[in-house]
Amino acid sequence: MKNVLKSLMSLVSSLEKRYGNTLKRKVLCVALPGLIIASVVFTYDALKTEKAIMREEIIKRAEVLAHLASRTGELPVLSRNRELISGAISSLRSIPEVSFVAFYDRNLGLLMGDGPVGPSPQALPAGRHIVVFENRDYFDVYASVYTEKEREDIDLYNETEPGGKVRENEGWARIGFSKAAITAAERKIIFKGLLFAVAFTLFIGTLVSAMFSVATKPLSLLSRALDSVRKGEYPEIRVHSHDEVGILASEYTRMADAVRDREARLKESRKRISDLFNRVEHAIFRLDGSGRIIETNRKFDELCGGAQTFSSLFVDGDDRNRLSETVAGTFRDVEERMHGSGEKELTVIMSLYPELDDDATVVGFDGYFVDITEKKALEEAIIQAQKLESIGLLAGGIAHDFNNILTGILGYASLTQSMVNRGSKIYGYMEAVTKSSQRASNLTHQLLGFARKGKYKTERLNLNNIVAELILFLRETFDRNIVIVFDAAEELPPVEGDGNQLYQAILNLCINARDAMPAGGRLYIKTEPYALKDERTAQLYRVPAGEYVRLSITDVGAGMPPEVKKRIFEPFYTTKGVGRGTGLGLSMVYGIVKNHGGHISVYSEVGLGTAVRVYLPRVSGIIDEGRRKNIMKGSQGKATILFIDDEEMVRELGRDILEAYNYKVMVAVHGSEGVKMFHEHGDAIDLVVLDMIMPEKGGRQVFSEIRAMRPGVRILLCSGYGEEQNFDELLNEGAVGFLQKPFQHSDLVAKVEEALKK
Amino acid sequence: MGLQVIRILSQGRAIFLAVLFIFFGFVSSSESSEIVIVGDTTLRPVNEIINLISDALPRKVSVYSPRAARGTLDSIVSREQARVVVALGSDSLRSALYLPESVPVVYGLVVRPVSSGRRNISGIYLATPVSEYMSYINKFFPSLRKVGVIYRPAEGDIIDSGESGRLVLYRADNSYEFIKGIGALGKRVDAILLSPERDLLTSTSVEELFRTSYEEQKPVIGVSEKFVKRGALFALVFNEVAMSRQVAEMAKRVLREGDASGIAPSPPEKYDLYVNVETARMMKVPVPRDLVRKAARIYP
Repeated sequence: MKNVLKSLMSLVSSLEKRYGNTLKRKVLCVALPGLIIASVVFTYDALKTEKAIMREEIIKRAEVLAHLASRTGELPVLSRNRELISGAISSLRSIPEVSFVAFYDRNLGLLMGDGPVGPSPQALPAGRHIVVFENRDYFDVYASVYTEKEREDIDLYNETEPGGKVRENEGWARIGFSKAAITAAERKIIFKGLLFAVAFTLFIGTLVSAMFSVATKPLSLLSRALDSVRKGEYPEIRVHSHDEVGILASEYTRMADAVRDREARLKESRKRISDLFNRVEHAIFRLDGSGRIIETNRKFDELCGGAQTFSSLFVDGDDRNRLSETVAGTFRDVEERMHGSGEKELTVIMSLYPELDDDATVVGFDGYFVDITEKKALEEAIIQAQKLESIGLLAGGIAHDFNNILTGILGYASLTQSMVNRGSKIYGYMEAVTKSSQRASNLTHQLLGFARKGKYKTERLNLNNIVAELILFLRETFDRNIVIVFDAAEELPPVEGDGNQLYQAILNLCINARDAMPAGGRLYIKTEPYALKDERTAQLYRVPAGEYVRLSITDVGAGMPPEVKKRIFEPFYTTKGVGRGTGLGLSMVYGIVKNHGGHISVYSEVGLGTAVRVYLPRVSGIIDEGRRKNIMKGSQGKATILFIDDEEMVRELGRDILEAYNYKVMVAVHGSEGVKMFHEHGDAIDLVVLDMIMPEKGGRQVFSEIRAMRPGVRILLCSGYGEEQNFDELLNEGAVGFLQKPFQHSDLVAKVEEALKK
Repeated sequence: MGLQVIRILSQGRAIFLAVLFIFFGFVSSSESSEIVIVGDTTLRPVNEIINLISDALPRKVSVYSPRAARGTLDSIVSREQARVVVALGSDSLRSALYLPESVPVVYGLVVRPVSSGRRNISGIYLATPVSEYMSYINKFFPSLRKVGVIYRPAEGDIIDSGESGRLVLYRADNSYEFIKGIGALGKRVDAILLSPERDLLTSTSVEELFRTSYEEQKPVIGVSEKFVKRGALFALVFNEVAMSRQVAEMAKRVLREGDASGIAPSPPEKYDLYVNVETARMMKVPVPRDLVRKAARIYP
C-alpha cells in the first residue's frame, strides 16, 4: 500500500512537472487514480459479492437438487432397486450443472453412480441433512435420503405439528454440481466490472473536470488577472457570485487598485530617486563582493566612464585593499587620486560602505565620491595667491623705503652732476652712483610691479599694437633660431592699462620663452577675445566673469615640472642660475597682470613646452593713440609749486630740483602743514606735488581738503609705495598725474611740466 | 407423545378425570409406594393424566419420567417396594420390559399389544383390530368385498384370521414395500385397510397411498381421525375415556391379584367413528345413514 501511495505521489509529481500544477489537474491527478482504484475495488467487491451470491445460489440450487435427489431417491434407496436408482440418477443427470450423481446406503456404501464420481468420505457430519464440500471445479453435495414418519405409533392418531415427524436416514444422494456457471458468471462480472470501471472513471473524471472547470473558472480569471498584475497590468474581472470566489474577486479588485496605486507611487518614487541618483554631483557606484562595478550614476560615468573594477579607478595602484578597509569601516571621506575619463587625473573624496545580508555577510559595496579636482586647484591657487600676496606686501614695503632712499641718492647725484663739469671726477663718481641707484631703482620698480603698486597711468590700449611693437624689438634682439609667430585677432577689443607695464610684462614672458628654447624653436603669440562665463573658472582665476582679451605666449621648450610651475611667480625664484636672472621677471608680470584686473595661467608639460595665457578685461571705447611720447623734452616754468612730503630727503630733493629749474617751491613737512600752507597761499600755488603716503594726514585727505578749497587746483600725486594701491579714483577726480618714486630729476621736471600744461 | 395423549384425551377430559379419581388415590411419594407410574411429565397432557391417576388411586403412587426410569426402573421399584408399575406410553413400556417378571406391569397409551412373551405384562392397546373394521365394513359397506391389508409381520395379532376370505394380506417391511403393496393391491381389492404402523406410513408412502387411492378409486380405511380428515373413508378410533377406565381397571385388578399373568392385553372396548363423506362420494361408496348417525365426526 505504501508503495502504491509512493508511486501515486511520484506519478502526480511527474504529471505536475509535465503539465503544470493547476488545481484541476491536481484534483484530476488525485481523483483519477482514486476513481480507478475505487472502481477496481468496487468491481472487486462486486465480483466478490456476486461470486458469493452466485456461490450461495449455486449451493442453494445444489441443495435443492440434493433435496430433490434425497426425495426422489427415497424409494430407490429403500428398494435397492438398480432400475429405480438408475432412473433417479438419469433424471438428475439431465440437469446441465450436474456433473455426476451417486446414491449410497446409510453406511456410505455405493449403490450406483453416474459420471466422474470421486471417492466418498468415511463418514459425514452427524445431524445434517445436506453436506456440501467445495472442490475446485464443483460442489460435492451429499443429501440424506430419508423417510419421514411419525415419532411414535400413537402419533398416527394425533394431528402432527409441523416438524413433529422424524426423519430416518436411509442412505445418501451425492451430486457433483459444476462451478462452470460461477466461472462464466465471474468472467462476465469481471468484464462488466472493468467496463463499468472504465466508464465510471471516464464519466466521473469528465464530470469532475467539468465541475472544476466551472468551479475554478473565476479562479482561472483571477489567476490570469494576477499574471497580468505581474506584468504590470491590472485587468478588471467580473465575478457575479457572492460566494467565497466572489469575495475573493472583490478582494482582488481592491488589491489590484491598491497595488496599482502603490506601484504608481513606487514608480514615481523610483523615478525621483533615479533622477536624484543621476542628478547629484556625487559619483555613486555599487560593487559586487569581488569589487566589480555593477551600477553607477551619471556623474560616475561622466567622471570615470568605462571603469570595470574598483581597483582600476585608482592612480595609486592596487597595493591597498580598500575593500577590507571598507569592511573595517575605515574607508570614509578618504582623499584619493583617480583615473578620470580621457586620461584625466581626478582628486576625489571617497566613502565606501559594505552591503550586508541578513547574516551580516558582505555581499557588495556601495559608495560615492566627490570630485574635488577643481576645488583642490582653486585651493592651491588661493594659497599661491595668498602667498604671492604676502610676498608682494613685504616686497612693496621694502620697495617703498628703498625708493625713498634711492630718490634722495639719485636726486642728489643727478643734482651734483648738474653742478659740476661733465669731465670732472665728481661727475664720474656721481654717474656711478646714479647707475647703481638706477639699477637699485629698477629692482624696486620690479618689486613694486609684482606688488601691483606701480600702476600710475591707464589708457585704452590694443594689445596687438603693443605686441607688434614688441615683436619688432624681439626680432632684432632674439637669436634667429627663435621663430616668432604672431596670431593677432582681428578687431581685438581694447584693454585699459599702463602700456609701458604691459609692454614690459609681455617682454618678460617672451624672454622666458626664449630662455626655455636655448636650441631655438617657435614662439607663438596669440591674441583673441575671450568670454569667461564660467563662474567657477572665474573664481579659480580670482577675476570676475566677463569679456576678456586673452594673450597666449607659447613656446616649445623644455617645459616645467609641477613643482617649478607652482613657484614661478614667487619673487627671486629662478631656475636660470646665479647671475642670469633676478627672479623678479615673472613676479613682475604676475603683479602687472593682477594690477590690471587680469589673470595669468601657465600650462606646461616637461619636454613639450609651456603656454602662458594672460587674461585682461576688455573695455569699450576708442583706443588712445600716441601713447609713447617723449616726455623728456625739457621746458621750464615760473610757477609756484607746493611740495608736500614727510620724507625730508625727498622733500628737499624735490625743492632743490624744481628750484634748479626756476620754480618757486614751497615745502610742507606733512599733510596738515600742506593744507595750511595751501590755505594761506592757495591763490599763488599752481601745482601741488603730493606724497600719498604720509603719517597723520594722508595724501588722499590732503587731496580732498585742498580740492575743497580750490577745486581746479593741479595736484600731482607722488608715491614710492602706499597702502592705497589704486590712485585711479584720485586721477579721475582731477589729479593731473602720478610720479613714481624714486625719480630722477628729469622725471620730476617732466611730470611737473606735463601737469602744469593741463 | 404425552402431548398427543392429552389431545386424544382432551375431548373426554371431565369423564376421564372422574374415572381416574374413582379408581386411583393420591399417595405421597415421601413413603414407599405401591404403584409406580412412569410417564412423560414434561408434557402437559400426560402430566395431567398422571395427576388424575394419582388422584384416583387410594394407594401410594410415585411418578417417574421415562428418562428417569430408563435403566433404573428396577431399582426404583425395589426402593419403592412397588407392587404394580403403570407404564404410560411406548418409552415407559420399553423400560418396564426389563423389570423382573415378579413385578406386574400394566401399560397404557400403547398402540399395539406387546408380544414380549413375558407374563407379568399386560395392558390396554390402542390399535383397532381388523375384525372391528371388518364388522363395520360388512355392516355398512358391503360393496367393499375385498379389503387389502399391508402389514408388518408383528402386526399379525390385530388381524383376525376369521376374515381371511375377504382380506387380501400384503407383507411389507418398509415404506417402499408398502408402496409396492399399494400398487400390487390396487387392482385386486376394493379398499385398503391401514395398519397403525409408522414405519410403513411414512410421509412418502401415505402420499403415494392417497394418490393411488384416488387414481384407482380404492378407498383407504383407518387409521385415525387425521387420516379421515385427509381422505380416508372412515376410521374407528379408541374412545379415550373408555381406554382410561380400562387401564385403571386393569391396574386395580393386577394390584388386587398381585399378578398380571392371567390378564391378556385388551383392545379398547369402545371406538369413535369418523367418516369422510366427500371421499365416499368421490369413490362412489354409499354411506348408510346409520353410519352417519354413529359417527363422532363427519368430514369434511
